[in-house]
Amino acid sequence: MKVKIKKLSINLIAQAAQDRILLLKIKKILWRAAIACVCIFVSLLLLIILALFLFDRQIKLKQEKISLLKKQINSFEKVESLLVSVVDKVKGAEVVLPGRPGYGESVSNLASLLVPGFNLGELEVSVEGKIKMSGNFNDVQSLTNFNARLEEIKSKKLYSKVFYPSVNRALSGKYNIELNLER
Amino acid sequence: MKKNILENLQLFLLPALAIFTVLILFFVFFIPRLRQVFEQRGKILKQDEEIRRLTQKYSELSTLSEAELWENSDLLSNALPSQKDFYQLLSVIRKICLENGVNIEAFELAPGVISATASSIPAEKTEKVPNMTVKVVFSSSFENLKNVLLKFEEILPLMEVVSVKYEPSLRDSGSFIYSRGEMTIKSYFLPLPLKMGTFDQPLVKITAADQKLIEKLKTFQRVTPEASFEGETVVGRENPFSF
Repeated sequence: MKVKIKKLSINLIAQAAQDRILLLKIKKILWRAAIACVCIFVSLLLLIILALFLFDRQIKLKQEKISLLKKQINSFEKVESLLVSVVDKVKGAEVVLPGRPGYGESVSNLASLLVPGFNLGELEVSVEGKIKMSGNFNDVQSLTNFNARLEEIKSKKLYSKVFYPSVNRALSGKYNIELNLER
Repeated sequence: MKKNILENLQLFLLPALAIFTVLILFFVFFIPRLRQVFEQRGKILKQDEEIRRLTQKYSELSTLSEAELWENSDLLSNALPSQKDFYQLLSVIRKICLENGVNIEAFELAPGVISATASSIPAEKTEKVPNMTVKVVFSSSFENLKNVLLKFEEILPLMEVVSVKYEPSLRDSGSFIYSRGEMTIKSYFLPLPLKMGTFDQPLVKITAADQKLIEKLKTFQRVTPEASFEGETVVGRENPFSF
């Protein structure tokens, strides 16, 4: 047969004393927390002060190195300014040179057109490669020779447009022409 | 009862005060110092970057040959003068024309502001490569004109014959001995750059294409204006208007 035994908790310590013990326990925890806080704070503070000190030193050293490098670079000031000037002028020349028309071909073509018996009246060569010329021929043979030379130039396909604005024969028997060549 | 509460509060006052002080110090002292640490770290990283850049620049500069740069600078200053020197332009044109048998009869140019140098020309107001145009009236044979046109293509300072108008005026039964014409010549100049390089900027480089162009320019003929007329004692500049 099982007998049921009821558990009774009996505290013989007085209620006031119990409260006092609880307060003391809380006080103890609080003190520990306070000490832990102070310790953590102090250690972090020390770490930060150390880091600041080290970083400060590093900054000073690096600054010295930078100053030294700047001084060394400064000793090459002339070289650098020369280099900047050279590069700047080269960039300028790169703009100018490719844009310049070459007259070499135009003038050699023109020279080949000046056949005997042709009297050049007017010649105009422009930067775009346009050639405008006028003149007259003493006889039809000169005109034929001129045409033959012009055909040679045309065959080189240097000009996109080759045309005669006018060709006429004067009463004197001379042949007058106007010729335009365009690149 | 009141006395009891005060007594209990006294028990917690000191540790609570300590925690409170730590908290206050944390916000007032610790956080700004922590921020300072991060700032300093950032500064160190920036310095490292600057040291890297400066070291690179220094090593690049130390490999450059000053003599070669002087030579190239001299060549390019000849190609594109820094100043709008119309006197030099006229002298060079005259020299080239005379050497090739082209006689200059008249000229016309509008130099504009000639005092303008790098420091006085605002960058945005300048063309990429400023130029000056001169119109020249000449008399010459066609052969000489041909030679002059070709010559202008291979001389320094860089010039460009924009247009040529040629009109034979003296005809001798089909041959044109000396004829008159008009030539428009464009001359270029380039003021010195405003900034000649600073520590912060990386070093500009001469590329292979630049080097090729320099080599090409070396093949051009440098034309220097004549210093004086033969037999004359020249004081000051030669008169460019006496053609």
